[in-house]
Parts: sequence; C-alpha cells; structure tokens
Amino acid sequence: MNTATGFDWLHGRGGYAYGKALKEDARRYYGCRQGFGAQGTMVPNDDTFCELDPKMKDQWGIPVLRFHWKWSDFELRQVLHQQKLIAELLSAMGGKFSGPPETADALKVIRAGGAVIHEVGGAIMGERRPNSVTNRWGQTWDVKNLFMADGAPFASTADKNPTLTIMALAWRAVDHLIEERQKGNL
Amino acid sequence: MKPETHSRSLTRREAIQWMLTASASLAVSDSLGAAAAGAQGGPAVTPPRGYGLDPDMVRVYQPGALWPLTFTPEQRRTVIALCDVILPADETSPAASAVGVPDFLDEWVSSPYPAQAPDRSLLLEGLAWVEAESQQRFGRDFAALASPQQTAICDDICHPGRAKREHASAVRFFKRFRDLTAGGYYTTPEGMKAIGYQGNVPLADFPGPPMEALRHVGLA
Repeated sequence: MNTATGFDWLHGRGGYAYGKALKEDARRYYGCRQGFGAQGTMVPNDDTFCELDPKMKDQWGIPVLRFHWKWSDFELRQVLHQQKLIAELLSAMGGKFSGPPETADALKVIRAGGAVIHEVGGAIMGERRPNSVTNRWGQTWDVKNLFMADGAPFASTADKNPTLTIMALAWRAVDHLIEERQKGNL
Repeated sequence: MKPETHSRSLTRREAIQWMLTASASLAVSDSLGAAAAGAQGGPAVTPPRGYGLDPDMVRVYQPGALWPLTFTPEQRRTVIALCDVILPADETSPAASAVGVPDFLDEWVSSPYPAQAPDRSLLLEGLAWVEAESQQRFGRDFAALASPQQTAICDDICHPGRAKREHASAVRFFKRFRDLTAGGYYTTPEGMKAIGYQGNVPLADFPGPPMEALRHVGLA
C-alpha cells in the first residue's frame, strides 16, 4: 500500500503526486525497480563457537549456551567483493550512483552474525575425535550407536538452503549403517 | 462446520476449509493463551473470538459483510470526490470511484485489524479537515467544488516540504489516503491493465523453452 511512495522517490519530486501525474508515474515506474542483495558462506574460525555458560542457568537449572563471534577476513573480503560486483552489474545496466558504495569498512556493511542464517551445526563432523562430535558418517565418537541425521553435523554452512544436503548426508549415513550392521560391527 | 464422518472421503474444498478452520482456531487460542485447540480427527469447534475466523476463501463477500462499514453518506461523497481527484478517468483507464476504491477504503478503515487502526483515525479526521477547509474557502462541500478548487486544496497538502506548518496532519492524511487509493486501484483488473501488468497467464499448452534460450545454455 506504499507503492506510490516509490513512484515519488523515483521521480524525485519530493511531494506526493496525484491526478494525471500519478497515473503517468504508475505507468512509467511500475516494475522498474531493481534490487540486489548478497549472501555468502562463513568459514568456521577459532573465535566463533558456543559453549555452556559457567554461571547462567535457565529456569530448569540447566546451563545456557554462551556464544562467541568474530568475522574473519574471509567473510569481510567476500562482502567487499560482493559490493564491487553489484556495482559492476548496476553500471552495466546503465545505473548511476547517487553516492559511492561503502567499501572502506566491510564491518559497516555486513549484517550482524546470526541475522541471516540457516540453523545448522553445533555437533560437527570431522576426521578426528578431538575437534569434532561425529565422524564422516554422522556417527558420534562418544556413543557408537548414535547417528546424527539432521543439520547438526554441518562443519560450516554453505549459505544455500541445507535441506538437500541434510538428506544426502542422511542417505549416506544410512547406507553406512546398513553396511556396518551386515558386517556385525554395530 | 461439523466434523466430517469417515463414511466418505473429503472433497478438496472441504479439506481446505478444515485446514483454514484449524489454523485459525490455533491462532486465536495461541493469542489468548488458551488450552490447545484442534481436536483429533477433525477441526476444533471453537466459537469465534477476537475478530473471528479467516474469511471463507471461496465465497464472494460484499462490502460490509464481515464488519459494519464506517463512512456516513457525507463522508462517502467526499471520499468519492477525493479518490477521483487522485486517480481521475483518462483516455486509457477509469476513475478510482468507478472500480470500487471508495468501498475498499471503507472496508479498510472499518476492519478490526490492529495494524489498520491508525488509518481509521487518520482518514476520518482528514476527511473532516477537507470538508471544513472546503466550506471555509469556497462555502461548499468538497464534492460540489469545481475541479480547480479541489486541486487548490490538494496542492496545499501534497508536499511536506512546502506545506504550511498548520497543515502537517492534513499532509499526512493526504499521503496515506493517496497511497491507499493507489493500492486499491492498482490491484483491480482495470488498474492492472492501466499499467500494463500482465501477471501469470495460464497456457493451454507448453511448447518448451524458446530456441534462443536453449542455445544460450548450450542445449540446442
């Protein structure tokens, strides 16, 4: 219900068009806005993790999770690259810039950690027991008969929707499970 | 709606109605913190509370069928006149009042949704201002004014940067009234036609992607 505001803005008149001018604006400007948004992947780093809070407990007396977060150069340089690329796309489309893109400080551009996410991870898979919860099959190191077949074993999130990867990992885990069961290992 | 027995299978329409009823019941219960709705095997039979259940999506409602309308005959005349100053008929498309925009505005300000409550007072107070201004300046109802007189009043309140300070709330009214008028107008078939909006069009058959597109991706 605010579409007409966009017409005023595109026309740059400052006021609220009505009458013949509004009808002309609607014909001229409807559907001609173009927006870009960029998303990217985050690589796990040693400064970003969660742990049990040593002091704070929830209403049932269970320790709550405490989160630590730090962007690395990987994410921040990705942001600058995205900005550069979007600027190129806009220029190629014939766009003009009313102000320069923010490129000096990527931290000003990137959204806060956790703002645009799929909730995966927390019990990551890995090759070695000391730095992972499950092996490559989603089988937990600590409990041999426990397989995790959801998003928890993700070691990172590839930005895109995780469901198909979850399904693929579950499929692989089940194939392995059947094989091991037939060998009598489970 | 009565829960169905299992002696016959549900039609698709009944199934959709069931789901709508169930989800609406849940939403109402959740908002009131009441006990769980949704009896097993059928929809919850909960009396409507708040502003009731979702509309029946397969029924055609007339203005005023869901809640009492608001505009008095005098307000309605002003609304019709102002709508048509904002979106008049031209050689390509009809005027706002010809496609039911005054009905839409009455529905909008009469609805019980909390998000629309501010629009109700803004529009009703704004309409009163337009009438008073019209009487004071020209001694007649806004609807009875000549076109240049109507435009003179609108020009005073259509630009926040240039409007007089005492017109600040009338400016807010004008913007919202105009946006709602445009929103109502351009969601009608006539309004969509006016801007060349085609939308999704069902095809009787699908001849496949054009050769140009296939060549572009290396498949032809």
